[in-house]
Amino acid sequence: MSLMRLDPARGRIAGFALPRLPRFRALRNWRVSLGGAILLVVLVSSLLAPWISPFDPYAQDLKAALLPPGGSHLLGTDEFGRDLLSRLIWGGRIALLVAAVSVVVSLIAGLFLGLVAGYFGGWLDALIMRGVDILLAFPNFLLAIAMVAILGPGLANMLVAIAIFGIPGFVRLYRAEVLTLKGADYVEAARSMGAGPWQVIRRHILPNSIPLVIVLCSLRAATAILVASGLSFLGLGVEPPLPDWGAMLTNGREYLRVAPHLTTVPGLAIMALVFAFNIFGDGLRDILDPRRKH
Amino acid sequence: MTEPLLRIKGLVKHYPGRRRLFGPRPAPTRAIDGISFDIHAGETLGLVGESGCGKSTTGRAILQLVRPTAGQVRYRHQDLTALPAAQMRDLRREMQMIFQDPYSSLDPRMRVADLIAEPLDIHGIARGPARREKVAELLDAVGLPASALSRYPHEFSGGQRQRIGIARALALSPKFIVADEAVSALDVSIQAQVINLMQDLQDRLGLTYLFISHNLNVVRHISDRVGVMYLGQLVEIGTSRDVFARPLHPYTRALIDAAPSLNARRRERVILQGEVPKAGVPRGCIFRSRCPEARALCATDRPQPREADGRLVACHNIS
Repeated sequence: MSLMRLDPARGRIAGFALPRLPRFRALRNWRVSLGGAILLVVLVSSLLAPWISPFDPYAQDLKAALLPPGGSHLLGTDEFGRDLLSRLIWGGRIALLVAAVSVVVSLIAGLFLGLVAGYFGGWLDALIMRGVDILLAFPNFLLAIAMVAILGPGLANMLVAIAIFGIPGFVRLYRAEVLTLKGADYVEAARSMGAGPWQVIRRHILPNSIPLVIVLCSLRAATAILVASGLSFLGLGVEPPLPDWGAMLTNGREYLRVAPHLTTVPGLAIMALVFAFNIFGDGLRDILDPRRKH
Repeated sequence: MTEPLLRIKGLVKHYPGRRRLFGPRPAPTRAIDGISFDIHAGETLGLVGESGCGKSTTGRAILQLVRPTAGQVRYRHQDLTALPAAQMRDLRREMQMIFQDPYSSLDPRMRVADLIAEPLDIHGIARGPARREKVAELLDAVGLPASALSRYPHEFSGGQRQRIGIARALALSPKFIVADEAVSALDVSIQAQVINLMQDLQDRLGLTYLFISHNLNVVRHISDRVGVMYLGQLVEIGTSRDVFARPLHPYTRALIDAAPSLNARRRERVILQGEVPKAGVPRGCIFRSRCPEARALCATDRPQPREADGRLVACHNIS
């Protein structure tokens, strides 16, 4: 997938030299190719949802309620007669939205705080890391529940809760990476040439931490989706009638014995997407790990 | 005599011990414990001593890569230790460093052209064609082919990488270069090439080197003068010829005797007994715990560097 375009010989993103990646080698890693394929399917179907979903995800048809898979409703219908496949496709949008928002927020805040804490150290480091410790001391999921309980349920509030609680883990791991890179000889060399802290960060720390950042982002996406589904399942996240996988799971629960597909299908979708993000991240880590090079 | 390029006076670098929750604060580690010497323009000053004696810290403290605890580093009438960070960054154009490890001192994600041009980029000196030209010139000066430009450091051997490091150090046309174990990581045959390159460049560009090494043969070959360090102090400093031919300080003698040599008919060797003292530095002479000639005086008074036989020696037994 998009990795094929990461040709290091000329590829540069935002001025940073990209990690060296021989063409296609990424695809030879089964984790990357399988995870990437699943992600691609979800991404494309979500983007094309208005055109490829066979029915309106909100259209009710009580005469056709709780139909089993097969026939004109490929994956069957729910208790209101809404087409499950269409809701699944539209639900992918919410899952990816949650992942994207969480990743972007964690990335921006995590990079900044991790850099400041790791590179400059001192009391700033202590302050940031104690804050991180406090957030990490509570189970991620419980805090998200508490926060949504305070803010009230809803997609936007859920996004805020998940995004914020993705930051501490990112900060801690990124800080450790910055500490490692900061000790490298080439960083001292840059300082001896007269580079200031931000020059060192821009020229050496950021480019060399790209592999870790990619991995952290993909793992963060997986966690975010899982937490979001959990919150929706508990009725604290996305509210009906929005097609969300976690919410679909909750609704289907009541019909578990008469219509097991109502829970199985969204459950499998969640599993597949989380699995895909996880192995994709794992695979990328294997490929980009500098210790595997040379 | 003319004013030296650098005058190091009473340089001290202590690393504070890590404070423990209970108990007294441990004594600081004295990496450099008050050393003074001059470096003259155009010369190569070798700095030798065993591992952990503070050679590298001295080089870094002179360049202000570690800020000294006390003392002065005077460079052309300015005390570098008192200079604010921003001004020091500007002055770094005139003093560069060559690192020991040619593998870790080059950013693995940068191409050779960018590595060599890094000092230029940092100071915003040359761009576009001027930058390309300068890089090509530097590459040529260190004897690397132009085809190296677009390649990555891991595609080169240790010796070639060290040449890249030298080219990078030369990019800003510095006057003074600290070479910290610049050849220690290289194969012996490559060492000679790199040293010859460094000497050629010195002749052509009028460079001044502080050459830090534990390899006595290399230091003897390249240095005009040699300083011998032990436990953060300078015990002897003089011309390379004098120090190696007639070492005065008992530690220098032991050090030179310990170096491997092909010369079969040599006098009785001095072999050091005892260990390097661990915590802090004892009162009196730092070397007395291992010195074969230690006297009562050595336990109470610290010997100051004294002029003897055309050099400075810190030993009570030399006068």
